[in-house]
Amino acid sequence: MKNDTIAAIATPIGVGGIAVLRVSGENAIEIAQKITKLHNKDAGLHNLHNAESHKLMLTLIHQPNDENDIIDEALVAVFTKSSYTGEPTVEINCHGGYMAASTILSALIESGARLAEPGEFTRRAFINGNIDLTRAEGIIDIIHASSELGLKNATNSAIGRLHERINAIRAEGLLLAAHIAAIADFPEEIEEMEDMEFISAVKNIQISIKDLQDGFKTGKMLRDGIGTVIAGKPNVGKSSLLNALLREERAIVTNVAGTTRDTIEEYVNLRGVSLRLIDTAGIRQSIDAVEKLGIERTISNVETADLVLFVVDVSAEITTEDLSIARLCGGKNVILIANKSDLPARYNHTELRAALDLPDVEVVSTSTPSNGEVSGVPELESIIAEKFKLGEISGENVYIFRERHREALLRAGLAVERLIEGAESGVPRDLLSVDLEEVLTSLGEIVGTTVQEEIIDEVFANFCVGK
Amino acid sequence: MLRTAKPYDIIIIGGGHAGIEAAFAAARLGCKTALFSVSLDSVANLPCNPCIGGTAKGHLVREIDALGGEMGKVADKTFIQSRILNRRKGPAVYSLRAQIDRRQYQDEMKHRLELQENLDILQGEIVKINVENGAVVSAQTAAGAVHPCRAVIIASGTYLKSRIIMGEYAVDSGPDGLFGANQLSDCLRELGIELFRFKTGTPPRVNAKTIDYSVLGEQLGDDEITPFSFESTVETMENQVKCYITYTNEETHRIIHENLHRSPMYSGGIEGIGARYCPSIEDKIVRFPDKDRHQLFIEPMGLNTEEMYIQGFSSSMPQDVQEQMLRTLPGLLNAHIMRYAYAIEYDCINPLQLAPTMEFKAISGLYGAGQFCGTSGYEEAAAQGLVAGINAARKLQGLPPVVIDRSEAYIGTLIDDLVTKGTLEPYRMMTSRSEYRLILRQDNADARLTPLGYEVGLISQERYDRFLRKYEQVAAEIKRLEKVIFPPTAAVLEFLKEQNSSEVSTGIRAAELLKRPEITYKALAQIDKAREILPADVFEQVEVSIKYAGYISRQLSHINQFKKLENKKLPDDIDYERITGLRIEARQKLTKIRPHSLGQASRISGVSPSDIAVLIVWLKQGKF
Repeated sequence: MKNDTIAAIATPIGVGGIAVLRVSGENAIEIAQKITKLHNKDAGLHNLHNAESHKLMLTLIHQPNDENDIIDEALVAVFTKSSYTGEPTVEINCHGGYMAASTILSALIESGARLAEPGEFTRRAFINGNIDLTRAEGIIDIIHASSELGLKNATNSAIGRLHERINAIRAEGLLLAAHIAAIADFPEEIEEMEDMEFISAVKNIQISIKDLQDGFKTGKMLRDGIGTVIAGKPNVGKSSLLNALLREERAIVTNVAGTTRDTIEEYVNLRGVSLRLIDTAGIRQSIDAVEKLGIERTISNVETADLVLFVVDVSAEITTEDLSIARLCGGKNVILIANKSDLPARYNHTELRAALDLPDVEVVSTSTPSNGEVSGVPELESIIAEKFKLGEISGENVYIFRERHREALLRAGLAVERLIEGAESGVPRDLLSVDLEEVLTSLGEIVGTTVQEEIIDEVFANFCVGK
Repeated sequence: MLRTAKPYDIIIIGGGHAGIEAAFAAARLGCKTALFSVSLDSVANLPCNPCIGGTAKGHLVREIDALGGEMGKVADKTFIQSRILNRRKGPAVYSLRAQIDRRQYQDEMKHRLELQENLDILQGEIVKINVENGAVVSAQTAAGAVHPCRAVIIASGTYLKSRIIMGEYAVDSGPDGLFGANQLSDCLRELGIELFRFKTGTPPRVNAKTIDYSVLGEQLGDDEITPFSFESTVETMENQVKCYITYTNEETHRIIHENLHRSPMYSGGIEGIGARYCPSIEDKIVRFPDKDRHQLFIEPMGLNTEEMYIQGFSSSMPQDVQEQMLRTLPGLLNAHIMRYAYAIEYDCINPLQLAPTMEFKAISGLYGAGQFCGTSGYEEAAAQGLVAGINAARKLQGLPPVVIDRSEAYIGTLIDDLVTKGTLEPYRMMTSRSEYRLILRQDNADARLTPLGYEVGLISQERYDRFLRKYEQVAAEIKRLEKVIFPPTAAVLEFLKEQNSSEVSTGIRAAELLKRPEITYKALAQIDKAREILPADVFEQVEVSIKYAGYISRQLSHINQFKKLENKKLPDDIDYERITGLRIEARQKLTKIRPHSLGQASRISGVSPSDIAVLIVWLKQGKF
């Protein structure tokens, strides 16, 4: 059944005051009708089929076979035209929490709807021409984007510029491919390009690809934020530092629930980029647990972090605990926070580095007394900004951020490498065109000139049920 | 007066290269077959170049041979000079080309047709094809003979309403003074078939005794001759003639410019569409004004004639201008023209009306092949004829169709291009038309297609066994080379030095050495003492397989990608109008062409990648 009717809960389970269910397909209205009783002033309509499109109506939602077995009171809207999916759609806004929404979903399924697969609403929107593939991907990016610049990078103008860049590289490659083809097909009429010229043209392509590849870190940082771990033994002032960061930056972005919904990440906006303070909620709430789990917990956090803020109490003696954390930080992107600098310090910065055996790490002195003046936070922010070259990031540049794009560029890059190697060792051009074509198809995947089923699957696999 | 005449299974219209291959295939597969030609003296004519093969075309001839076709065998028997083009490039674009004795080729081919079981060849013009209930029932000659039949293959070449043009002079005529076929076009139109009008042209022929060879560059054949056919023996093959090279110059170009107004291409006297890849000399000069000279080849038309063909000098200029132009060329100052260059216009079909079997989608049992389908070139024609003949026979016998895909052969690429993309000018095969040219080499055409030819029934058991033996030898030699290790002895180091190859400090496998671009299989013999003497076509396979293994395997992985979309079949009953995510143009094109797979759909012009994405998702809907 291509157009069977699907239903799902479109809002996260268990969060918020209302939950939204979406029903889409040829029989959406008919199916919704089976569990809906119109309220008072709309009762004259008798039937959802008569309802005005895009208008919310107060209704009672009941079990399919018993009008008096009420499940919830809900606002219902019917979309007969220009719905998200392009199909007849009914949206039911019921009370939040788990029970109401899931009971209504069961009632819908009992009435003939099928539970939607992940991404199925967007897939239908796509088939019905409401969105194209780039927009489908863009929707995912917007769902995931964590900061202003990230959002800007995810919007269509940035996508347009990425496509321009890729197409320009492809054009250079196509020129070479056309030349190789022409000398093969018209050997008596066309002169072959000199090796030097050929290789330098390929190297230009290599540079362009590398430029784009280099933007991935930035792009990913824009989209996901800078994963930051505040590490340190208990009572050195980690939570106060966090609070200071949050306080300094009045625009606290939000509490974003992660996919597993059991860890909370705090976002702090730093010059347009998100500082994603990982798992700090956990650390704050269970200092004991940290003590119990010791270094183990910190290990995994530190390992995956983009940035570690290693906090020590500069007024106290360095302990073995500090040293073991310092060892973890070796080789990572670390800023050493000499906290409690309002108290008499036992170490200056040089001594601190030496004591912790972190010779090249930058040190910032901070103080975060709970009732006094906070200091050092602006300096810390400047250092972070410098470390991640935030000043160089411009909303006008293009940074790739999708894993799919990174992977395609990687393949293009490898193919270019082989191409140069082959050309330099005298492999005939028509053989090199195998690698050249790989460059072109890989880049084509990014701009959508190469269609592969896997790509389509991947795009839609990123959606969750209800989208 | 109409009369009912002898019935046939399959009737072929036209005795050119397409009609011939169709006739042989149909007759050999057991169908009662008739081939009609307006003149039996024009069977297997080479009305343009006296040569067969060339870039990509040589590949086609090899493929035709591997499927059991005739062109390569007769070319090997009647060639007078043979050469592999692109020798200095990679093996994918090596292309075999042979100068042919035109008369001998015609005689040999006609004789073979006459000897073929199940095949009648007849002189006569077919003017009408009768269709009942959407299926072919008979074909009718101009003289009123109605031959009942179950299939018709039209291979009319350039003969449909053909018109010859030289400057201001134009005449309704076929090539080489033969009659055109003036009635069949109207019948086709009545059957609802869409016709195009294409144009092609040919250069002048001059008398050899009036050429001054002392100032011309020579072009010789290869010392070691490579045959087209798997069945030919090299030992008896010999080059017998030279070709010559000359160039146009400023004076030639000046004369052309001054007389452009008299060229029908520019004065509007020609309405047909010509091929960009086979331009007339006046086209070349207008389109490439920066080029101060164009290369021309002077090629003999045969051993028993003094006619010489001036390749690269096609023209539709008036006769007097042609004479002036020709006399500016070094070596041709006193050349006497025997046949003037001319342009020819003719009716052909929009090939989008055909299925990949070469059958018209709308008329059961009606097939097209060759220049009639919008191509140019003998080899392109022969390839289509062979496929049409095979499929017409198989349909009558209730067997599934044979469709060769793009990853298997240039033949598949050619036909897929025609029936999927269509063509707006005479279509010429080129290596660049294939995405998989490293796999579709001329040297492995036998490996790619002999099994299919055998399965279809056009390759004999004896030849098939010989084919299997060849590839057993290839496999054994590859295995041996992968095992043999050369220790870094003085002899080995000396050899490497001679070959300008880098030294080794430990033992190295023969296969590894062969992968170095500078080391050939032949040269390796110096240190590879244990090797057996192998035939050239065997060690050639060994060498290519080892040397380019990396490239080959990467291209094979591209082919796997291709096959994935190719294997995603599109149901026949899709209502594209209902898939609103498709752009309107895509919906129309898909409805018209009705591609059999997603892969084919993706190659239709007007169907964009995003339309394909929509189809992919549409096909999966409910199956995720």
